Amino acid sequence: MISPLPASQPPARIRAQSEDAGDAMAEGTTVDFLTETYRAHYRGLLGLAALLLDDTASCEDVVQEAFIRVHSARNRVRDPEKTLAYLRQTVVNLSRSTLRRRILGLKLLSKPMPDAASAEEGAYAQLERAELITAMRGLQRRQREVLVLRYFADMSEAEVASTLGISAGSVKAYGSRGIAALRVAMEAAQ
Amino acid sequence: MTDPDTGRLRQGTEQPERADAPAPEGRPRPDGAPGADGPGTGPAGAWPGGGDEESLRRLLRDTVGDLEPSRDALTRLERAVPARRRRRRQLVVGTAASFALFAVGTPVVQYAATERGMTDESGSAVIGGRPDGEADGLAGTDGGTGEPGAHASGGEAGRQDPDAPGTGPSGTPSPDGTTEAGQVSPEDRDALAVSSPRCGRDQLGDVRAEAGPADEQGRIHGTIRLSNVSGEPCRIKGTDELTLTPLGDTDAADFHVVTRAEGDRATRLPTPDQYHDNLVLLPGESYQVLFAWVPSEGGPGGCPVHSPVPAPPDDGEPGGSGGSGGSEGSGGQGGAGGGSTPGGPGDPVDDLDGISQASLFRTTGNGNGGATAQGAGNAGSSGGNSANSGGAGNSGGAGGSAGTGGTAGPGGPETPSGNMAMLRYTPAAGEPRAAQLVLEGVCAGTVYRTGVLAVAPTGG
Repeated sequence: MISPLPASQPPARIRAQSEDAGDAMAEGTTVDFLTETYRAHYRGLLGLAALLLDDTASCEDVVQEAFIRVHSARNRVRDPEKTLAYLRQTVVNLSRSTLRRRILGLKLLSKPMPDAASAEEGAYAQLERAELITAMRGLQRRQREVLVLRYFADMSEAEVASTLGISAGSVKAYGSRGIAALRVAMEAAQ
Repeated sequence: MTDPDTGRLRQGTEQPERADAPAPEGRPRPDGAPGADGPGTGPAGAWPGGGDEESLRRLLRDTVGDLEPSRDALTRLERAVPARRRRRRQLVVGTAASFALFAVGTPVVQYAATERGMTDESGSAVIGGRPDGEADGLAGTDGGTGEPGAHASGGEAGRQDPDAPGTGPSGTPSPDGTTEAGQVSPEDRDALAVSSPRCGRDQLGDVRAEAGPADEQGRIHGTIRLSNVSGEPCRIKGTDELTLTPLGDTDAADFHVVTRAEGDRATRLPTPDQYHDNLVLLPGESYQVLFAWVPSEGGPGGCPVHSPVPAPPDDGEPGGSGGSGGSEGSGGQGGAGGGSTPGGPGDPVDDLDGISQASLFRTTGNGNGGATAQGAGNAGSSGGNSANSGGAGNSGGAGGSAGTGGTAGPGGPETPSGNMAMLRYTPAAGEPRAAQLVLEGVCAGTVYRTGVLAVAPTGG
């Protein structure tokens, strides 16, 4: 494969390289931060993704992608207070179908990923059978998002509103209708 | 459920919980052992407690409480995050220059990306024109279809990282391309190292050879990078060859190529502990060899200090084939300007046979203005080539323009010296030679080189 590389200005290239070196050092600090956020939030986000996604199998991919995105944007990790909010929002965004399909495309590429699946197969398979999950999937997208953010992630109505980009009034409405619908679905399953 | 409910709960039980809102997600809750807070209710059970919000809250948590991260989750992140970050930076650097090209190239590129999917190796050169990362709000670099691909590379001219011009497999699908490699665990790599065949010469391509200007001590640092352009993983193993051959009136005895060792003078090069004897390259991954020219004591470039030697005005000697020849001398001030951006000339990539060429112009008193002019020519041709590779044709123009400004100074017909040497690189896989660079204004000294270095899996 021949690449069309244009005339270049090596000084700039060299500079870019040394930036890389500097970056490596900076990464040292952010890796710690990464570990920290991983410990603090990864599991919870996995749950969030599991409740939002239609296919639990891609939970891990979505959460991974969210971590990568948020942590690779420097300005997003400057404020650790907001990291969780960013992560959650990214998970929500990625859980919507179009984007997720893209991730899945990636996942196919990045095979093999052997033990991830096998280790957790039990938990995910169990999840697939959970009545709540089935019932949740019957809800409207928005209702489901509101319920999950509001009650699983324990966000306030205002936070849910800003995460989903809807009004607080809508959050309230989606929430109450969602709960009603969920109850009906759960009772039907009994 | 309804609003009265909501109101009650918010004043009541909810508040204390909200105080540590992140907790339920965050730490493994002290009470978070699956089922611990709902002993009576299986995760999949009914909706206990009459369906109020508190019980929904518990039910939601119990349901997903068993989920555990996969064992290598953190490891994958630790690799993928820096890789993605590097790519983001490259993307930003390249965006401005290539904006105009996007306008024209994007429709084609997107079409290519969607239609071909992510498997088309050759098409990958143009996949991924869109920096679509910012499109979806928060989500940084979108994993989407990739980075500014080859079509951008023309415009990006030289301003990017070596990685950046996302040509060939390096621009490959890998939205997560980073992670594509990043998600292969070390164990998998080890397995691949055993099972993959050695890289054949035809599997290596997308050669980039480049070098910076001499620093104040006359040292020149450069990089030679090759990518696995095939669709299969392969191993880089064996002895490659970097040679330095004098051209012109330089004495071969004054040149040496040695492998960089701890404690030598090439302090900016990575040390041997980072070299790989056996490096697995997944499709699209690259390896590189870095080198540093360190002149012997004496004048710049190891040359005895002397007045510029008159040279024939028509000196095409440097011997880089194709357009890379002209170190046409131009003394005087005009030349100095040209000389200050040395290397512009060497378009690292040769279009036809995978041989990469570049010239390095040492700046001595007299610059060689001719240098950059030739860059223009070369870039043009590579741009033309990219047209063949699919939808990326416009790169040529920008590339060409990047090389301007090097108009030969009106100075006297003098070159720094007739001293130069050709650096050639042949991978372990054998002939044909992959890269050659001309070092100019060098008389005596040593090229320190590294062994095979892994290139962070940024797709480049």
